[in-house]
Formats: sequence, C-alpha cells, structure tokens
Amino acid sequence: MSQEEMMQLDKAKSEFISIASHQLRTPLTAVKGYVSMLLEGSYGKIDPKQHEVLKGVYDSNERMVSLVEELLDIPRIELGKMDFTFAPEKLEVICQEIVDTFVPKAKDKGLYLEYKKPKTVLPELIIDGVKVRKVISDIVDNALRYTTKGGVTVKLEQVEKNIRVTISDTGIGVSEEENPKLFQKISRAKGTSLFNPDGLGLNLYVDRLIMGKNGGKIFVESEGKDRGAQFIIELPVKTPEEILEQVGDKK
Amino acid sequence: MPKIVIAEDDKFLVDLYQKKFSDSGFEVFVASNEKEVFDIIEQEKADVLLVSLIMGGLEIVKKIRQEGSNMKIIITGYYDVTEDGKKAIEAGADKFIDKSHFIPAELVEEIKKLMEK
Repeated sequence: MSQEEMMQLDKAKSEFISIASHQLRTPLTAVKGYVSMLLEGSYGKIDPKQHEVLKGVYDSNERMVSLVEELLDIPRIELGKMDFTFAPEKLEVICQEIVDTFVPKAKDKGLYLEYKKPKTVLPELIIDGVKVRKVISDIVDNALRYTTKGGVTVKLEQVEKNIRVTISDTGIGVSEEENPKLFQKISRAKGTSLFNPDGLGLNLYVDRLIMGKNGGKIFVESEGKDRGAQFIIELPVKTPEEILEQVGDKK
Repeated sequence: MPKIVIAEDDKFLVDLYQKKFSDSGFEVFVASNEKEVFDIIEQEKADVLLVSLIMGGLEIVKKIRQEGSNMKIIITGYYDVTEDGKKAIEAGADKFIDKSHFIPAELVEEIKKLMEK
C-alpha cells in the first residue's frame, strides 16, 4: 500500500470513528435523559416497582455507554487521535483520591483497600493526569472485582529513576500462560467472565497504550491462579524536554 | 425569566432539554439551523445558547463573539471530540459538555452556575 493510500485509509478510519461515536452515543444519551427524568418524576409520580425497573434500564444504559467508549477508544488511540494534555502532576494526590473513591466499594464487598504512601516527597511527573488516573482507577477497580476475600493494597514509591504504583490483590491471580496476553486486545484471564460480564476485555489494552503515550509502562506479576496479582504502573522521572521528545507532542 | 436557545441535532434531545428547561423556569426557544439561532438571539435577546458541535457550534460561537455578545454559550458534544471542544472554548464558548455524561437536570445546574458568574 502506498503512503497516500495509507493516509486515505487513516482518514477514512478517523471519519468512521467520529460518525460511529456520534451515531452510537446519541440514542444512548436520549435514553439516559428520558429515564432520568422519569425517575425524577418529571412525567408524573412513579411507584416503587416502576422506580426499580427504570433504575435497571438506567444502569444497563450506563453500561452500554461505557462499552461504546471502550470500543471507540481503541481506534482513537491507535490512530493517534486521542487527546493528551501533559502537565505537572503529583501521583500522591491522584492515588489518594482514587483510593478514597473506591473505599466504599471495597467495604461493600467486605474487602480491605489500603494505601501505602511514599516515605519521601516524590517529584512531580509531566503526564496526562486524567488518563493516568483512568489507568490506575481501572486497575484498582479490576483488583476489587476479581477478589472475593482479603483485599487490595495500593503502594506508591520511587524505585531508582521511576515512580511506581503497585496495586496488589489477594484475588484470582494470573497464570504464566495468560500473563503475556493480558494487555493485548480482547483478552481476559480465565475464570473472569463470571465476575465481569459487562466489559469487552479491552481496558487493559487501552491502559497499556495510554501508559506508553505517557512514557511509562504497565505489567503484572503473579504467582499463579488464585494467588493474587501485582499490577505495576511505572512512570519515569524525566525532564519535560525528555517527555516531549518521547511522545512527540508539543502540548 | 431567563431565555435559552437550544440548537441540538437530535429531536429526542431537543424534546428532553425543552421540557427540562421549561420545568426549571426558562423560556425556551428551539433553533434547527444556524440562521434560526441568530434570528432568535436577535429577536428574543436570549441569555443562553446551548448548541451542539454537529449543528456548527464552533462557527456559531466565533460569530457571536465577533459581534461582541457576552451571552452564555455551552457547546455540547461527545468526549472524543474534545479537540473541537477546546477550540470552542478558545473561540469564546463558556463551557464544553460531554452530553453522554450529563442528564438534563445536571445540564440545567451547569447553566445556572454559569449564569451566576
């Protein structure tokens, strides 16, 4: 395929993403809006059973919105169409906020969720804070989802020239066979489908790509099935010039 | 009573927003194209414009600000077109909202907050 043909193909893909994004999301947005207004009583009083049914519709719709976003993230990031805005960020703040957000979910499941803060003040990182927050949130969410007893620990530290976030859980673990496939497209560790019937198995793949764009990486260590796992997110401590050079972004 | 112009591409969203804003004490006007947006703004001296990117929100914002108007303008879209959303803010919109993450009640609250500024 010639360079021009490849550019045409990329352009066609981008246009498809834009159109698909809009066409898929618009009816979902309308459903969300109508159901929320029914639940608020904007169209008249509803009884408890109707409330329960409508809440079910609302929650299912929200899952569909997440699935569509998950599906559309892949081509966007692969085509370089996903926005990244790099700015100085403190990972201590991001990790604390994420843990605070997930504590209620952990408690609901009878699990612990603890945060081990760094012993020293860590340097700020030049990263896309919103995207990195999403990655850490995804991993903590997954850890809680695939753990039925014990809990999850989020540990933040500097290891030589890297800032490392380690999310350890006492859950289903990852076998040696599954480990290299976990961050590929459409991958899910065996035994997880019962716990997560809602996702497409794309989040870890997107998370890996996002970490790459931020100059970092994500990987997992596990002693095997039912022996828990440690997901490790690593970001190098670099100068702004080094970051810009690596990701080729002038923002 | 504050006046709002709604310019959305989807008729169901127009219906939703029209009802919610009316119930929330706004006088609502609906525009189906750029010309109607400007006609209504001029005739009714609207306070707020809610316009989607697909309806040409970016160009409409630029023209309104070039005319010197400081009415409140909210651009709606979906998050993966935030590049356009940022351009809209740079052109003078007050806020960009990803409508898939906002229910009508939250949209009303956002606009009320903007009007208080």
